[in-house]
Amino acid sequence: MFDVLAQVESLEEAAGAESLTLDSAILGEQFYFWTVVLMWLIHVGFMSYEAGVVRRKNVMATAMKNILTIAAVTPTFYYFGWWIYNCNQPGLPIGPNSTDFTAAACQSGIPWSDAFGPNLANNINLVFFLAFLLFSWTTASIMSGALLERVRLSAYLVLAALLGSVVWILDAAWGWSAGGWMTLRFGFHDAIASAVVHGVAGAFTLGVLFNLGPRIGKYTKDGLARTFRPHNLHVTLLGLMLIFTGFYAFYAACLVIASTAVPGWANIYLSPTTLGSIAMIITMGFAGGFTGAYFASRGDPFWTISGGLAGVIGVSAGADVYAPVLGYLIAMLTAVCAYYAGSWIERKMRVDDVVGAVAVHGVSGFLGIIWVGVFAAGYPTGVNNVDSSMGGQLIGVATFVPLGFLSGYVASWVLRKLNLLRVPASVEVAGLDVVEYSPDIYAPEFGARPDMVIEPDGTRMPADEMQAAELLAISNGRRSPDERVPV
Amino acid sequence: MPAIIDSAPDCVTHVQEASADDMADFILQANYTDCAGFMTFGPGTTWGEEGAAAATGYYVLLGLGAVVMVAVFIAWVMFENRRLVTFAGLRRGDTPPGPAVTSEEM
Repeated sequence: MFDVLAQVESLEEAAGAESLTLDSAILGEQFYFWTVVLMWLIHVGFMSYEAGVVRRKNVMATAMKNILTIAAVTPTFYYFGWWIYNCNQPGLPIGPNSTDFTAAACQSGIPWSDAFGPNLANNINLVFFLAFLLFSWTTASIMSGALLERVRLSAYLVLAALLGSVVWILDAAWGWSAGGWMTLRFGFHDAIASAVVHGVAGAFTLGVLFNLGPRIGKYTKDGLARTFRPHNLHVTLLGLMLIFTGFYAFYAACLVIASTAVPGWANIYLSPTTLGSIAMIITMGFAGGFTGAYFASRGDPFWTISGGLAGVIGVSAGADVYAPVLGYLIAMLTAVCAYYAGSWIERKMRVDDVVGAVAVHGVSGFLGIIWVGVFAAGYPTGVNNVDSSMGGQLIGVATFVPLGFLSGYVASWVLRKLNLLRVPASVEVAGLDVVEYSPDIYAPEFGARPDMVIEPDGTRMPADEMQAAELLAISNGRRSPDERVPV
Repeated sequence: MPAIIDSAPDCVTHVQEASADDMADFILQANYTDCAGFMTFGPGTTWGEEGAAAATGYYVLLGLGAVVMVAVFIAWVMFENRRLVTFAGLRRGDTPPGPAVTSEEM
């Protein structure tokens, strides 16, 4: 009798455990699903942000570029992005550390896997794929803003697919996964993707900008920078606030929730953390970033709000372990650095980065992983329990900077040589919307004052007039449209 | 009614004449109790000799998607290039479509 009761009891326990497993899987599936939904706000934000920052004649072209980012990156990420992440964590596909392509994780990454369809034994693969896909859109969109007003749509889409579906996801496989060689060997620690997403995107963007060149008239013949005013700063600020909202979902999606395998919340390396601590550090990061950039830029609205982004990126790498005040101070310092780096890139390097993406994302992203080496060494990271250290973080810098920069530079160099990178100068001066879309897409009843440009001496003049004069100089052979140095 | 392409995997059982009362027993879900993945043309699909036609069809589908994806990128480049070149040619007084115009030529 007692044997029968014990048997019934053990069967009930087994059934309960099975239900718990299924419930856990479905809860995890829901969690990632909702982060994906909320992360769309990042792309709503990018579109508004960039559409506001350009001049009126380029608004529609800018918005279309953001929309088509999704069209370009999604299929490429399905075809090879997810495979790169799941199958290349030990290193490159060939070589001494090449991947075991029969491993279960690798099998779920190949596009013909049955984990890419309805699968009752795998609730997580597709929502995890989607979360990473949204990260990929974000990575590509980081580059988008820097190239505004002169890049060809098609060239941008090719570059976006390369950055979003190959470059960043390869560095994520190496340094942002439980099985990545950088973590297993060196304890590389970048919990919420300071460098993995932002740093690499910034480096890639810098490589592209070297080949793309500045907008016509951005620099005077003496090499001094003019300022093209955003046509609608309010929309730009609103866009950034939407990006910030989506960032909370981005951060949450960077955590692992799989309670039957790992107790509680874990970071991407499967080390423990909590959702609340992550959210706390983001919020302190915004506060510190806004503050630092406000004072560094003497109250410039664009840089103040961009500083919030820089601050958050600066604390992302250690957001799973930082104390709140440390996050606040690091974010403030990072935002100040980003502001001065942005000025230096524009004025000394004469690189025309329309939204300051190289400084805000690239510089802040790499500073973020260095801060971990300075302030958060000694945390066991990854399944090999290698301590985080400055050495491990520098391995990250030494790996990601060339990976991002060289791939962006080479790809854009090829496009440039094929005359497919930049729109013709006459198109740039006329405005992309007129040529790419329709000359009458704007309602004529809403009269608009001309977009202005601020000269280095502070005087203002209509941007179109200045660019027409520059175009004349180009036509006469006195200037090249993509020159960065005075002739 | 015969299916044109029966791509349901063989792990899917077909319970005949299920009634409303069966709902309480999850009999409809029981059709899938032996299954993990069951997407169309996926592994285990029964279309063709031991599912071989489905497997072939799936790879053809994947290949078709890849070709379309690449073609779309090429089309984006060509479509935009033609429009830009036409505009630049009109500005110069050329008869469109002109030869490829580089920014250096402007």
